[in-house]
Order: sequence, then structure tokens, then C-alpha cells
Amino acid sequence: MNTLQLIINGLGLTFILWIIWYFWLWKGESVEAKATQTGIQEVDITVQGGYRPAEIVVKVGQRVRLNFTRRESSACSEEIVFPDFGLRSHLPQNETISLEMTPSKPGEYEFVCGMNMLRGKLIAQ
Amino acid sequence: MNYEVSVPGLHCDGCAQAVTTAIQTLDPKAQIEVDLPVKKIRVITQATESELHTTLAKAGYPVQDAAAAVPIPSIKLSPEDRTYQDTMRKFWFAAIIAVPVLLLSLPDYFPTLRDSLMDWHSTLSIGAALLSLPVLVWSGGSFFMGAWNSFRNHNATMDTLVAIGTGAAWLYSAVYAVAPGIFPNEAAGMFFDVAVLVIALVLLGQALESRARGQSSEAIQKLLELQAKTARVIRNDQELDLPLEQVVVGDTVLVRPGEKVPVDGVILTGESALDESVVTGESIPMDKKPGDTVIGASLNKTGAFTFRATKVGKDTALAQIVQMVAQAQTSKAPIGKLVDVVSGYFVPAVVIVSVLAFLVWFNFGPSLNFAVVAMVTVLVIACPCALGLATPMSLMVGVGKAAQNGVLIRNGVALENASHLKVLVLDKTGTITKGQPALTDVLPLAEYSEAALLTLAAIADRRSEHPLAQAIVQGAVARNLILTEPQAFKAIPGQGVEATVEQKTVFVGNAKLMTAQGIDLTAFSTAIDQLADQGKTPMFVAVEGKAAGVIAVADTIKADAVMAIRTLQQMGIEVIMMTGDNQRTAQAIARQVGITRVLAEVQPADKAQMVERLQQEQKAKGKGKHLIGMVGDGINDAPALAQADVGFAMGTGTDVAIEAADVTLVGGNLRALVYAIEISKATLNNIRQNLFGAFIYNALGIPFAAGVFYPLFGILLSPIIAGGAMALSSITVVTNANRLRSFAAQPLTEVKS
Repeated sequence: MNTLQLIINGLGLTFILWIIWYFWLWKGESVEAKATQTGIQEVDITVQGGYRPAEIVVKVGQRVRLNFTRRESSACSEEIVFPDFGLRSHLPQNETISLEMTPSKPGEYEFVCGMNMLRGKLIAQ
Repeated sequence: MNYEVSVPGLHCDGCAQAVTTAIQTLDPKAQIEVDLPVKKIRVITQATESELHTTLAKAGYPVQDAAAAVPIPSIKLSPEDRTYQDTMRKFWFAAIIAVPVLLLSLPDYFPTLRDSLMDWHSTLSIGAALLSLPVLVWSGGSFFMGAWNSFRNHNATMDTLVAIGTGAAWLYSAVYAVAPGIFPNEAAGMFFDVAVLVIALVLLGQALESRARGQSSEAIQKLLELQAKTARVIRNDQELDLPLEQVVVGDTVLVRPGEKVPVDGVILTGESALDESVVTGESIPMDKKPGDTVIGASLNKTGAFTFRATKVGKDTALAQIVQMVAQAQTSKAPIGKLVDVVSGYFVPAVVIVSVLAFLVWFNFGPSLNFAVVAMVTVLVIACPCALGLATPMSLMVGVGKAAQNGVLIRNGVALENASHLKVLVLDKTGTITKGQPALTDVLPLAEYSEAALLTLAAIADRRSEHPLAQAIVQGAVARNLILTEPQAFKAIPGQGVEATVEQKTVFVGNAKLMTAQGIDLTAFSTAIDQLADQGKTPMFVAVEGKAAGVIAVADTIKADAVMAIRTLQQMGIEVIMMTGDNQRTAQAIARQVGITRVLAEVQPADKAQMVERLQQEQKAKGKGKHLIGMVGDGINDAPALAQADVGFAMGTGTDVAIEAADVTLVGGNLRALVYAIEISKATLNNIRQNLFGAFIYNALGIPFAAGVFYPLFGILLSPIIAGGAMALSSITVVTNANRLRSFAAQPLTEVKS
């Protein structure tokens, strides 16, 4: 094995380890929803190759409004689905779509894109 | 101006007061009418509509947008079409550029050609690089942007795979074109054509897939299109053509033949036959008379009638159906759980495999080229979309198809469980039978004719409100007997009636009544036994203190019951009947419909417990899923429906969203029950095919692309074919799901008599 081969192999293996860390082990930050005067907990979420923020902490039993704005043309994120609440909505590019729900029990409620690749969750406490 | 606004926050008199005060502050001269029950305010004011809305919102009572009254999630309209056309434009651009790029790449495929063009090779290569660049930037731009965006969020999607795959192919080739010297000799070869064609194919796949997906969600759209657009409302003796949103509860609505019923209501005047197939799936028109309910979106076939609106907007049966279906379509089926876990790790795993493939071939393979091809092919063949779409697409089509046939499935869990049912418990009254007794036999003693006996009994029963008495009266009317009024009438609770008919004292009632009146029943003993064996209830008639005959009344079996039950049994499902009736009557009915196992004398309160006992009985049978379904009326049987693994509620008119039920059979017949189970089985099969296909595709495709078969057979997949396969795989999943749209239930099994 010559030097070039050693370098390439080393780089390749490092890349693999980095993928594992970057995509699987990395943990995002969660954002706590703030309630408006009318008692609705509202959070703006940017949809761009994922959900920012992807973790939203809300209070149980209080209405939640999530405003999704899709800022990309990639077809991957064109739909948003909340399986637990039976909500599915198309997200037109650069438009804000508000979805409302009330988590009645504490727990984690996942939301995903139409093909189940991008994920986020609503954490009700 | 005259306004009418919907204010959902109006709950109490206090709210009404607050709203009135708020509007009066805005315009002291305003005439305000608050309609609490329907949560509407009618205002005549000088203020503008937006001022009115702002004032109400400030007072804490925001106006509900008329358009928002019927929330219809995820109906794909114009944006979808625009996306489709955009994608197609990008595809065509890539496809056209692909032609010259392919021509320029030809020398790489034919060594002799390459040798003769050796001097031009560098120029040709740079030309191909420049030609293909716009394709990557414009046609493939969304993949690269998508990949970058998801990367920043620590996500990886299909975009990531396409972007790395095509990007690597192009970059490697471009570097080689500009500086061939830096690579070892055997590394010759370029992949501009790969980059361009893969982008073209994936784009085409996306466009076709979005088309097909539009068809998948068609069911809801179709239901909505069936709605009437306007309603002819009569207010203050004036006929007004109003848009649907403006119809309020209590309005009188006129419907002419050939028109659609705009909202749900009760007929006031006129008679007609209505095609309610939109909601119930039953295509035979139903005869309607004053007092009967009508369902919005059904078609008026014969006569004109007026009705009072009882449910409007999002409360109508159709709106509830649409909402329920939309919710069910987004729910998850347990069968898809594994995929949910897998798809979370899928894309990074594929990238890792591609890097490994590169390293292995780089170290042990024939050339650097080979390693690059293997890497790119792995990236572009992997299809996370096919996996992600497998379950939801089938569920969407299956649930929608069921709804079109009057079967509302609450969610994916209900659908999956329904497909596994081993035992179905049918409540007797209202499920197998109509729940309304009808006259069956008239058995007079010698001195009376059938007609004479029935006439006497019917006149005596005429003023009674008891269902059994009503059955006798209706039976007499159906036989065209002329009924006069009784001269005297007295109801004897729990026993029957005493009446004076044509100056004679007539008793009609049960055995208890006859015994109380000292009337000898021995002449009837055989008849009593026979009737009981047939599940019929005998009513005795005595005239002037002497027995005159027996009239039998029975609950009638629904038209489809026998065939539906036979079909279920042939599907391998054990059908059990549950009823509060005594053993003898219950057995009689069960025999008629072909049920062998009967749970009789079950009090309504014990039904749920009985279902639980059956569940334990099934569990004792050992391994596998032994699920129990319960079919009942949704109100009295609610606890039993909830206890069962799948609760089926028989629908009644406009009340479609039955809470306790997993499945609502809107049409209220057993044919729909068979359909519900068949469509559930078909949908689950479809999901299995999709999942199997998607798993097998990736499980075979990825190793093939990585070159696992090269040492054995000397074959390596071309990245272009891999890109085509990937585009095809997700189209296949969606197309397979769409096959469910043409699902047709088998005709019910004919019963040999």
C-alpha cells in the first residue's frame, strides 16, 4: 500500500465515522413554545431540508399552532404529516401554512415529511 | 350593509351581550341579532365588513372565515400542477442536452474510436463538461439545494443521494478532462452522460410520481365535487339562490328533481326518491316523505320537496366523512413500523455503503474508474422514497376507496386489525334484523276469516303506540283493510289493549293479558310452539271473552343478511350472534341466517364483558392474532364496540362520525361489512406487496450496484440504469397503490335454498 492509498483509505474511513456522528449521533436543540395572549402556543417553523426548530416543547392540553414556511423547491419536504393528529398538508413554496392541534396527553408527537425522511417532534409536558 | 358572520366563540348569553356592546361601540345605530344556537350574528350597519371583523376580534370573538368552515386538509390544487410543469421543463432540458453529451462520451465507450480521436479527446471532454454544467445547475439545482439544506439540518434525503452521486460523477470527470495527467493511466473514462441522464430520469420519475399521487388522493376530491354549489333557500317567502356557505341551520330549502340536496335536513313538504350513494354507497334510490332525513350531496331523482336544514358546513355528513377520511389517510398502520425505523437511518447508511464500495474497489479493483462507478451507482440506485411511500400510499387509496363505498375506516390500525379478524360478533337487533317488528302470520280460529281477525285487532290497536301494536296496524294497512276508529280504547301496560270495536269487547295482547282475562289458550298451544321456534312473537286476540285467534309479529331480517353472513363464513370468519332475546327466539333467527353460535339473553350492559370473554377464549387458542370484531348500532353497543379489537357501527342517516366505532358502515347494511373486511384485506396485501417490493429492490439493488456480483459474474451495473431503476421504483409503488382504486368487492355468495 503506497502513501496515496493510505491517505485515501484513511480519508474514507474518517468520512464514514463522521457521517455516523453528523447524521445519527447529533442532537438538535429544542425550542419551547410561547403562549400568545389568546392562550395559543405558537411557533414558527422553517422548512428547508428539515425543520427548524425540529423539537418543540409545549404544554399539555393547550392549543398549539405551528406555522410552517417552506423555503425550498426540493420535492422532499413538500408535505407535512402529523400522524397522531391525522393532519396532512401540502406546503407550497414560500407560503406559511398554519396547523393547529391540542396534545391531550404528555408525550412525544412526531411530525414528518410526506415520505417519512425528515422528522421533527412536538414534546408535550 | 347587511352582514351575517359565524362566531364560534359564542357560548352564552354573556358572550352575546359582549358582542352586542362591541358592535354598538363601533356603530351605535347597528341592528344586531345574535343567534346563539348556531353561533351567528346578523348585523345591519354602516360599518365595513373588515371593521366589523376587527371589532369582533378585539372583543375576543373572532369571526370564522366562511371558507375555513369546512377544513379540507391536503387537497392538491394548482401548486401541484405548477410543480409538475416545472419539473417537466427541467426534465426536457436535461433530456435534450443529454443527446450531445452522450455523443461526446461515445469515444469513452469504444476504445478504437477513442484512439482515433486521441488528439481531440481533451477538447471534446471539456465541451461535454461545459454542456452538462447547466443541467446540473438548473435541472438538478433543486437536488443540490435540497441536499445542502437538509445537510445543514443534519438530515439526509433522496436529494442527498442524487446530489452526491451526480456531483461526484461530474466533478471526477471534469477534473479528468482538465488534467488527465494526475490520474493513473488506466483511469480513463468520463461520466458526464451519467450525471445528465440520472438527473433527467429522476426528474421524470418525480413528475410521474406526483401525477400518480394526485390520483391516490382523488377519492376525497371526488366526494367534495359531489357537493352542491348553491342552495335554493326560502326566507321571508322569497326564494334565494345562496352559496352553500350561507345556508344556516333552520333554513327552509327547496330541491327540485335532478338537483342535489345542498345540506343535511328533514323533509317538510313533498315526497321524492333520493340517490344517497355518495354517502351510503347504496345506489338504489330511497323513498323519502315528510319527517324523513335527507343527506347533503344526495341526488333528488323524482319529486320536488322542501326541507329544514339541520346540519350545515362542517357538520354535514359529507363534511364529516371527508374529514374522517382525510384523518385516516394520514394515520399510520402498524405494519409500516419497521419502515419508519429503517427510513430514519437509510440515507446515511447508503452513503456509508457507497464509500465502502469505493474503498474496496479502489484497493482491490481493476481501476479507479471502477471504484467511482460503483460509488455513484450505489448512491443513485438507493430509493428511500419507495420505502417511505409504500404504506401511506396504499392506506390513502384503500381508505378513500372504502369511503366511496360507504365504509368509513377510522385509521390504519383499524384497517390492519379488520384484515386479521377471526371472529365477528353481530348484534341481532338493528344489525341482522331491521329492528322494527312486522306482521308475519294471522291464525284465526274457525269462525273468523284472516281479514276479519286482523281488522278487529288492528282497529283495537290503532291508538296504541307500542311497536308490536303498530306492526299489526301497519300489517293491516298493507293488506288494504279498511280500519275504522275503536269506540273505546284502553292500554294495559305490559299486557296489551282493551277496546270496543263494533260494539264488541276486544282484547289484543300477550299471554299474560289472556290469563288475566280468564281466556283459555289451550287451543293455541301448538301454534305458540311453532311461532316461538320461528322466532316470532304471538299476540292473542279475544272477542267477547272468547279466544278468536293469534297474530304473529317478528323482527324482519335485513335483505342482505343471509348472503353477507354466508360470505363472511366462507372467508373463514366465525360469525356469532349476540342478543338480549331468549334462547328460543335467538336460535330461530340464527337458524334463518345460518349462524350456529348464539349468545342469547345478554343484557345490554353485559355485552362488553361478553366480548372480553370471547377475546380471552380466542387468546387461549394460542399463537397468532385472533382478533374479534363487534358489529352493533354505535349507541347502545358503544362499550362493546370499544372493547372489541375492531368495532363496526351500523350507520343511521346523517350521523356518520360514531365515536366508539373503528369502522362506520354508513349505509347500515351487512353488505358494507363484507366490503369493509375485503377492502382491508386488499389494502393490507397491497401494503405488503409495496413493502416487499421496496425492501427487495433496495436489498438487491444496492449490493448489485456496489459490485458484489462482479467477482462472480463479471457484471457491474451502469449508473444510468441505476438512476432509471430508482426513478421507476417509486413510481411502481404509487402505481401499485393506485391499483386499489379499481378494487371491486366480490358479489355476495348466493345461498342455495
